[in-house]
Amino acid sequence: MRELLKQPLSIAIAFSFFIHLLAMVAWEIWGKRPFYPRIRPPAIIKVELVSWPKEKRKKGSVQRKRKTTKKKKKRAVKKKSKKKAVKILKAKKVIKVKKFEKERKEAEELERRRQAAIREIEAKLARARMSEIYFALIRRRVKEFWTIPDLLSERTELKAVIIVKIDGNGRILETKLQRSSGNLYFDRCALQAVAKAEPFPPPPGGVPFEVGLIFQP
Amino acid sequence: MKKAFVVGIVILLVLPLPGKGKGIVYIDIDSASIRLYRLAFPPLTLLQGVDRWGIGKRAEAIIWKDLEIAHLFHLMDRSGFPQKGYLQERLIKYDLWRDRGAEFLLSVGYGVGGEKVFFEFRLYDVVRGRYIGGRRYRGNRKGLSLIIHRMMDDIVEILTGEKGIFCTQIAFVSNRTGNKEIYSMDPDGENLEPITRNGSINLSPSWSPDGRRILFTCFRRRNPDLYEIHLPTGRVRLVSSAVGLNAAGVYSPDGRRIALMMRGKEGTDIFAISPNGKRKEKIVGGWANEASPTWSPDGTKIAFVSDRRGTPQIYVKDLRKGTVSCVTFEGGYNCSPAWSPKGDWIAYAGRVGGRFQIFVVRPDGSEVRMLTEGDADHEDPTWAPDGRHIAYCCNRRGNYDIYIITLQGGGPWRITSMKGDETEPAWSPRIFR
Amino acid sequence: MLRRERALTLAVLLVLFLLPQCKRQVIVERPVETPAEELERGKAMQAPQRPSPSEEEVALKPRKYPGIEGEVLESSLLKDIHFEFDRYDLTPEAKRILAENAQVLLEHPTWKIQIEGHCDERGSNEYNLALGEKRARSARNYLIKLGIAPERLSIISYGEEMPLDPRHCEEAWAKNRRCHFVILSK
Repeated sequence: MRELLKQPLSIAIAFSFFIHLLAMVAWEIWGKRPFYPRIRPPAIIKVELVSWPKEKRKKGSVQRKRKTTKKKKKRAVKKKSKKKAVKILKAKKVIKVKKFEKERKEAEELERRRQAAIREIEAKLARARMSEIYFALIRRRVKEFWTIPDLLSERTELKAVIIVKIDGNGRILETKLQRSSGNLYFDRCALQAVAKAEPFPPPPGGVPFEVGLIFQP
Repeated sequence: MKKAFVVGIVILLVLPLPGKGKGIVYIDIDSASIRLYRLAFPPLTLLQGVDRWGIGKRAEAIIWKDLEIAHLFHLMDRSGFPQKGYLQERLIKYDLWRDRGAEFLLSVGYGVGGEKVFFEFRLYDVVRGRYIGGRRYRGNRKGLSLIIHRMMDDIVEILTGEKGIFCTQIAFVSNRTGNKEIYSMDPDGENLEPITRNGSINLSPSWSPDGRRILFTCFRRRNPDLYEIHLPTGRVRLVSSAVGLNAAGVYSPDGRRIALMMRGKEGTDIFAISPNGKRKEKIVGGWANEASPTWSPDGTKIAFVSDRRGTPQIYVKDLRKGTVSCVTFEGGYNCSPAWSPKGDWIAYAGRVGGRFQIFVVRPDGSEVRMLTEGDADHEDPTWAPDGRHIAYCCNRRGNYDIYIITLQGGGPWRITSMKGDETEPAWSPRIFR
Repeated sequence: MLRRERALTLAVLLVLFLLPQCKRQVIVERPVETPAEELERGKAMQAPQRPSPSEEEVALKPRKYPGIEGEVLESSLLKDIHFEFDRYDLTPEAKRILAENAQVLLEHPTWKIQIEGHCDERGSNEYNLALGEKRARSARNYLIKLGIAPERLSIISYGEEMPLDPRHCEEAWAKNRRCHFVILSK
């Protein structure tokens, strides 16, 4: 076994294995980009008024001032309580105003988010429609060059699948025969059709992407 | 155990990584337009030696005719070809050829040295700018057509995956000497050679499965007897000489039996005999006439002609089940059935409008197609081993000549031009000499 | 005593009665004819009185077919019969000629003949071999009916391989659809 491992071939195999593993991991993390991303509907947030808790009087401060004249005390107490009441009222007002402000801001924020979500959905739908149109364009372009000789015309069971990678300008980056039809000539005709269809219509957004083509007679 | 571990790793590396196809959209491309691809075939280039015998010219003519019959390409007109000479991979300029409209390119070079010749070809996919394949052949200049036919078969195989039909022979009957004798030739009409020379009446040649023997019927002994000639030695033996008919003998695909027409009690019946002429077994017969047997490629059925319903029609007998079913339902005279080596069609000659045309029908009688047309008689169809080419005889030039067509309507190409009638062609299996 | 004699005579009479029955069963006559055919046979037997054949007419000419072994003899007394396209049944004209031929054969009881069946060039060579057989067979069956011994008549089919007239027209074809009679031995 050690001898085997020392051989350059096995080192190469192990190295390649390691690279493959990396590539798989990388693909899993970054590679998956679904073309139709899932559209999440905006979360609905319920807004409710919550009751404010009542404030309690402190008992200790009122009891000490009983020794001074009761009237004065009473007037003082009344004044104080009036002032207090006014203060409390003011504080209450401020709290209310702050609360309303907060609620308004929250509502605005919600509205903003909703609008943003709607725009996002619309943008995605627009993109989707564009891709449908784009796929139709590709299909028409390739079909223009899809031709077979008569000896293959009746072989309705033949099916070849080709993956094409197109760059932002519509030029072919890579062509791969993913599934052979089993007939050499048929495969070659399909590959020629793809080669002739270059330049493809440039993809929307100028972003390179892959598409699969299923060829049948 | 350790070995298994290593093998396991190797297998893992070799297997394609799964899940790569996720996220790709697939588009259907169908309804292809049908046409032949354009092949640029520049003139042959002499690579070595001096061509005193016009070998290059002859070879080019054979290649051209074979390419035509193969019916895989449209051969482009040579005017305006951008490059000359033998085009190897480093020399070919794909974009020039693309501009000229070529889709494929075949470059052939040859050399002559004394009695020896060599030929070399290179086939290119011009559209994709790729080299498809090539090969080199050596041989004697006397066997030139053999070399070229071998090369053509390989070119067809590189392109389609199945070998071509140029390493075969077509046996046929000709009366050019005044009486009917049997001859043999290449599928493009080259190398015509006599097989029989007995001065009698010789009919119905058919090949053994190994392509080394030909069965035929001869009237030499004042009776239509079945003979067999062994081509390598030229020896002729008498296979069956029952009083009456011993006609239309055909080997079963496994070579174990010969089906033929023989005199029955009330009419002509079809029997199967062993190749040594003994062990006779009746296949089908009765008060009606049965004629022209042909075996299915799996040897389990025989198609034949019978006039049991009043006029000659084609029937199929299933030898295992014992059932007989009719296969032709239209026309008043249908004869000469020939079962395709692929088993999917039976060709026959049917009279329509007073003339015979070549038809193909599914063995269950479901689909019928007429392959020939015109005011002439088209008779005696025979299939090439590819189940695509059919040879037959036709009298549109006055006397009968042999023509070739394809199942999809390619051709017709005439391949004989002798005086007299050439009839009853029989296409051999692939022969390698 | 009387009884014995009676029994004996009875037995003898019975035997005499039975014997002819057996004989009748053993003898196989030619197939039963319809009255029409019997009439025809009568007519044939009483062929119009021809002047006895002259020396030249009877003279048998030897004939060799190129490429075919052996020699046969031909006589102008044995005439060809013709057929409709793709048919092997006998026309009234054919029957008349066959009747004459039968007469000739009866006059030369040692002749062994071969009936050749021929076709025109249309249709497949192989099927025409079978058709020629049928035509020869028709003629043979009819001659047997007219009283010719079956062992004297052999048949062969040449299909379309030996046309009388090599042209490609209806006139030639009509001539080629025939049965020809040759003498194998006299």
